Amino acid sequence: MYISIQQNFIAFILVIVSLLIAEGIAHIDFTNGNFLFHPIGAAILSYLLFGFKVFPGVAIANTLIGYFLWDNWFGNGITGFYGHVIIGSLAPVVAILIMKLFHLSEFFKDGKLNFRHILFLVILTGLVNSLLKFFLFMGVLKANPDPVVFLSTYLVGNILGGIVFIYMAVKILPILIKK
Amino acid sequence: MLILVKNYLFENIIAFLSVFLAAYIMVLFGEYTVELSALFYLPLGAKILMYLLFGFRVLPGIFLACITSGVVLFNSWNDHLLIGAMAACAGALAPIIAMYTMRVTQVCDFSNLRKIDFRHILFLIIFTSVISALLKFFVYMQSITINIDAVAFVQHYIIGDILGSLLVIYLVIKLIVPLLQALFQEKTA
Repeated sequence: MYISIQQNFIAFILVIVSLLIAEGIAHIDFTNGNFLFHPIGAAILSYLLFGFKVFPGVAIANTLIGYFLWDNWFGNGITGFYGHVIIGSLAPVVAILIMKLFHLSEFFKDGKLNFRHILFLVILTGLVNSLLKFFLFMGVLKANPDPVVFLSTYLVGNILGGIVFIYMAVKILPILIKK
Repeated sequence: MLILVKNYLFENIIAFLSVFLAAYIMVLFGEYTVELSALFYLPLGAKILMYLLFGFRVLPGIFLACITSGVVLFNSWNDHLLIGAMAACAGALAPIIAMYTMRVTQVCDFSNLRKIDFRHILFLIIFTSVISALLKFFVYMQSITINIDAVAFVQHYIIGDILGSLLVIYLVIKLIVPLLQALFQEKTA
């Protein structure tokens, strides 16, 4: 139980810090995706390292940022909660389950992270996240988003952000720590 | 050299015929509209099958089949020839993008069909359908004369592509391959 709380806390810190960084780099708005949306990478890494039991940590981090920093999900209330918290936190879980179901995943090979498989997981998570948010948000958001801009920016932002975050965490961070 | 050219042409002709035939059967038994696609979009299944059998070298045959079926069977995509041709190009490229992504990330290699896991083909169908639907969405949204409901478009295209591809691959595995095997066994006996 203690380990689970500790792992949830680490996931919470990872996601909340990456959300704050993403917000600091460029203002986030639901009508357009952020071109470097790191938090998706933080959520993927948390699930890969600790398993699906860190869902509460990821969801709480998303809820706190959405409610307080984004002013009740930019005034969208429960729709924003569903999109950002439920879909955003569950998209990596869905992608991992899809890869497991179709026998496509071997995220750890000889005790090391298999970066190529994780790359595919990031792409799949980006697709799942963007498509689900597209189906939910289009026609419901108070601001009327352009569908092409919405989908393209969400796709690019999720995939790029995920790859950059995981690359930094897996490849660059260990070198910096060693130095 | 001549044999290689002959093989190349033969494979491309087979690819052309199978994709065109799939489109013809689809139009014969169902309805295709640019805005909502078809419930069973069969050509995508034929494209995936051809790429799996012959590799990416059948792209010219498949591309030609897409253009021909669009002009002849879909009435030049309801008189949107340029946009329709671009969408056809996207449809021909979608399986390549999906297979190449899966190969580069080493989640699956489709080079040896004997060792292939059927679940990988199932995933390839879904992955290709999503990519194809998204590419076509980005292309068709550039047209100002086509009235598109964005959510319905993406949903219908994904579902139509998945159902159509599953139907084609199921029919080929369960019907056509056993039929051909029985035919060849009779001939050799």
